[in-house]
Amino acid sequence: MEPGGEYGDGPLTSKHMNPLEYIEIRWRSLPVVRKFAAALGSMFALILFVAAVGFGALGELESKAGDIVADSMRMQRLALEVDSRLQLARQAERDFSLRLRDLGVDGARTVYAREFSARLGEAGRNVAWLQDMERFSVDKQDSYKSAARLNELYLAIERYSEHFRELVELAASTGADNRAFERKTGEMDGEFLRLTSLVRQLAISATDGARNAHLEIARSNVFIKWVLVLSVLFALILASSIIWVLNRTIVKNVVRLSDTAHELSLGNLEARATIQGDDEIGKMGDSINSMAVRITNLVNNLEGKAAAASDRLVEAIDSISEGFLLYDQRERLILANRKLHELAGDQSSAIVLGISAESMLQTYAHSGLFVNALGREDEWVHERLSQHRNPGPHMEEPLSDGRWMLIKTYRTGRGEVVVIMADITQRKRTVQDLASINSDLEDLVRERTKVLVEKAMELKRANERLRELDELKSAFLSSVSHELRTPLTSLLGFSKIIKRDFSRNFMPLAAEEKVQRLGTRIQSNLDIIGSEGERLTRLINDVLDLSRIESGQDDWRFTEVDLAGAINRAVSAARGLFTPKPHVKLTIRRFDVVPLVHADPDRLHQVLINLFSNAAKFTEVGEVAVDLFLDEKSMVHVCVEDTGQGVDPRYIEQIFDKFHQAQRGDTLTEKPAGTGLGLAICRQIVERYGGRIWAESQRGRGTKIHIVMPPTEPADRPLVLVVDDDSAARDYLSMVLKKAGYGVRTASDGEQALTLAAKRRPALITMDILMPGMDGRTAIQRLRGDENFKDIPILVVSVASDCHTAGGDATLLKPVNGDAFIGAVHALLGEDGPSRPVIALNDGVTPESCQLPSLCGEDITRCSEDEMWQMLENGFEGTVVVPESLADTVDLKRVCDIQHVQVLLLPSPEPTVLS
Amino acid sequence: MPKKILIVDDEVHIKMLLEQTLEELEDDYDVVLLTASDGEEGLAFIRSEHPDLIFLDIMMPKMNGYEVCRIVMDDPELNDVKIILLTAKGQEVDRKQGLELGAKMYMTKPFDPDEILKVSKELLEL
Repeated sequence: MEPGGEYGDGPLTSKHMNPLEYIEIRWRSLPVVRKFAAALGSMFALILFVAAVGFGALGELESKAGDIVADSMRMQRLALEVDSRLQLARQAERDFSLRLRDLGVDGARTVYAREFSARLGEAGRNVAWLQDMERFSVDKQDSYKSAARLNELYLAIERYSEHFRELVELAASTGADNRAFERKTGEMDGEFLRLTSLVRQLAISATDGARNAHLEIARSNVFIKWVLVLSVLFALILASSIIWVLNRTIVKNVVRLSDTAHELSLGNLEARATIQGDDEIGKMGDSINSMAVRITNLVNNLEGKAAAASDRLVEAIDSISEGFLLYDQRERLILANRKLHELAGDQSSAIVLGISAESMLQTYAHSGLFVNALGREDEWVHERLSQHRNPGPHMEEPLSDGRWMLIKTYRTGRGEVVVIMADITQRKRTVQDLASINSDLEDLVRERTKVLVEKAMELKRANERLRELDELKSAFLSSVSHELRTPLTSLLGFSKIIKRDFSRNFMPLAAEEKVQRLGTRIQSNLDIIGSEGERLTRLINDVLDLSRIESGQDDWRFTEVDLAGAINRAVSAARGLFTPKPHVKLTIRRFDVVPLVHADPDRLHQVLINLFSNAAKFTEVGEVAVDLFLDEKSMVHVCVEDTGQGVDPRYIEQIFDKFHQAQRGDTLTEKPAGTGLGLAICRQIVERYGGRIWAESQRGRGTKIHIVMPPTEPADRPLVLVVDDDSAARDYLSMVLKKAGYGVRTASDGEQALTLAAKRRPALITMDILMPGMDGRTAIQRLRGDENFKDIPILVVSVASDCHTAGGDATLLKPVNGDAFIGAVHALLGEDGPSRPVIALNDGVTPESCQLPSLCGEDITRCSEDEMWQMLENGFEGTVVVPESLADTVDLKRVCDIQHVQVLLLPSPEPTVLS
Repeated sequence: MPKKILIVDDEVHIKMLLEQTLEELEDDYDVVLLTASDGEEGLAFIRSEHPDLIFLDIMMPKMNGYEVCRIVMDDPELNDVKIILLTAKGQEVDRKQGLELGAKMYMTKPFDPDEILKVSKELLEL
């Protein structure tokens, strides 16, 4: 690992790290050779250290040997000391024997016996010392032998002393001249001889031990020294050869690898690592070499491709139909294609690669080829050069031979300049031809356009004026109508009062027939005034109505209207209109169930009444028939057909215009006809609600007025009938269903539900159970008993207490979750819908027996009741499917009270009958 | 104690028409007819005579019918009087405004004399 990689990019200092880390980092950054040198040095140092320690130990050994020799010498001296004391004691004993005669026993004893005891005591003490020394001696084997010898010596000295005492006693008792005395002396001589030989042996053995030890040590020392020197030499040679081998086989190779890699990195793709051997380094060398080979191939390949691409580019540039020039950053020509040479023709000799743009332009300026350059060569060159340096718009240059050149100059991203020259002579000529034609045309067009613009402005002004006038007219009509009402009130009121007074007070007084006739005429004239006044009133009302509609002052309600109901109401309201026409019958002929439409119910009523009153007006015999149905374009269609005199097809469209009437009679004699505004108002209203009104007629064959209105929902959507006595529940379920794209009808009890279902068959019914009037249970029984309705799926939506065995296909317990509700509706209709997680109590609900496959699909968990409670406690959100057979045993109320959990009861599958 | 009907309208002919229509009641029942020609006069009559039923025109000089209606209905001593508004305006907003002010009815001109008689009888409980 790179030291920098671990410790950051800053310079390495020992300040902020412990010494071990510092050494480690320094060691890592050392070159391999240095590392080897350091290892070698440490090995040499170790060998030398071992050698020094060996020599030190030898020196110590030698000094110990010296000590041992010194001890031996001391023992030898002590032995000699013992010997001399013994000689002195012998002398004293001899003297005692010799001077016994001279001095007498007592005198000799006093002098020599004391001397003898003192010398012998001294010898004994020396022997005791020797024994002490012997006890601390190193050589145990030797020590035993010496100890025995010293013991013997000690005993011999004791014995010798005993002998002397016996001699003295003998001398004292018998005198010196007897045989006993002489024998004793002889014994004593023998004893002494033994003593001295013992002492001699002791001295000799001490001397020999010391000498032998010294010699042995000296000899070993020399041998060890030689061995040491040889081993160190051998170790040094071995270490050196190891280092040499390592250096030869690893370090040099590593260095070579490193050098090769460095060379490669510098771009010398010929560099190869020459490494022999099959070890890891050898393999690494092979890898580097093969990598180098691949890189070389790659580079060669790329170079080949680049060359090919370059060739292709040059070929492509050669083959284009324009002249192409490429200048480098120093404005030297580096590429010119074949076409350029062709364009230059005689002057192509000036196109030489490497030539500067300026000198080339100079050449051409003076060649007379460019018309613009004639006489102003330097200026032209300057212009072209500045264009070259700061490419501007394309330039067109006429040539002296009549050709035209288009010169485009571009600067590339690297600051090189591309010049493209195209021969546009042909185009130029065409353009010139066209230009003369164009200028004529343009003048013409300009003139026409001017006229058109003026006309358009006039039209716009006229339109504005018309709109103003229309507004003014509406306002005027409105105010005039108001002003008309007051005089009309007097007119109508007084005529009525006059007629009343006249009838009550004057008619009874008219006795003469002539006066009676006159009275009757006055009465009928008063009736005319009244009816005309009423007609005037209706006219005023219609005019006001229309002006309100047209001026947009009216508030348009936009509610869902059932046209069937509207027609029923209008028909019963229009009965009165047909009272004076006993031969005309108003009937509802076709009465299909149709979707709702958006409209204002009062306005729709107005339209229908208007149509009925028109039909009544123009029909004398026959019937006025109403059809209500859904046409092939899924529009709600109302048709009012009469058997009246009809309208001439030429005027059929005009009957919807204002103040137009199909027939104009003598209003003084005929009953008042319409105001002429009714159909215009009808059209306004129907079109306001996105509908269309039109008429079909033949003179003498009656008239058909058609109205089509768009349904609030497309008729192909499945219809769901929601039955619930609670309006909040009805509204909620309707809203959820409408959002999911279903058509919805609602009913508040079973009776109403059956009526609605009979009118238009729903795809599915959701049924509450407890309802006033006919309850859900009865309604379901009635539906199931009816051949037409028995296969409509029924989803019971109810509370837990009255939930099951109502006979529905599934039961959702209130409160109802919108998603679960829609899921159940989808499932009952056999559609795929959004699915929620489902838990199913496993008794009876298996994938095979499940009647709602899309509810018992993939995301379903089958479990026992205990597991269900466990999951519910763990915060399960979704639907719990319970077979109806378990509805009594499971605490459904408790499940219902859990938020975000929906209970769905499914009928238990009927037991399979074994055949 | 005779029942009093007050007619307030600036239009002389309308006033006459109403008078002539309601004369029948004067003949048949114990009813007294009073008339005023503008809002202020009408209000003065209301305060002094305390009529049982008022036919009140809306568009009048000095004080319009709405204003008279509002003042009468705000006065606790007067607000048991029954007011029928008469107008040439026939729009829903006008009708709503009149009824909100406390008027019993709103009749659009031209009105039917028979209707006037019928309504008066009902409101006066004759």
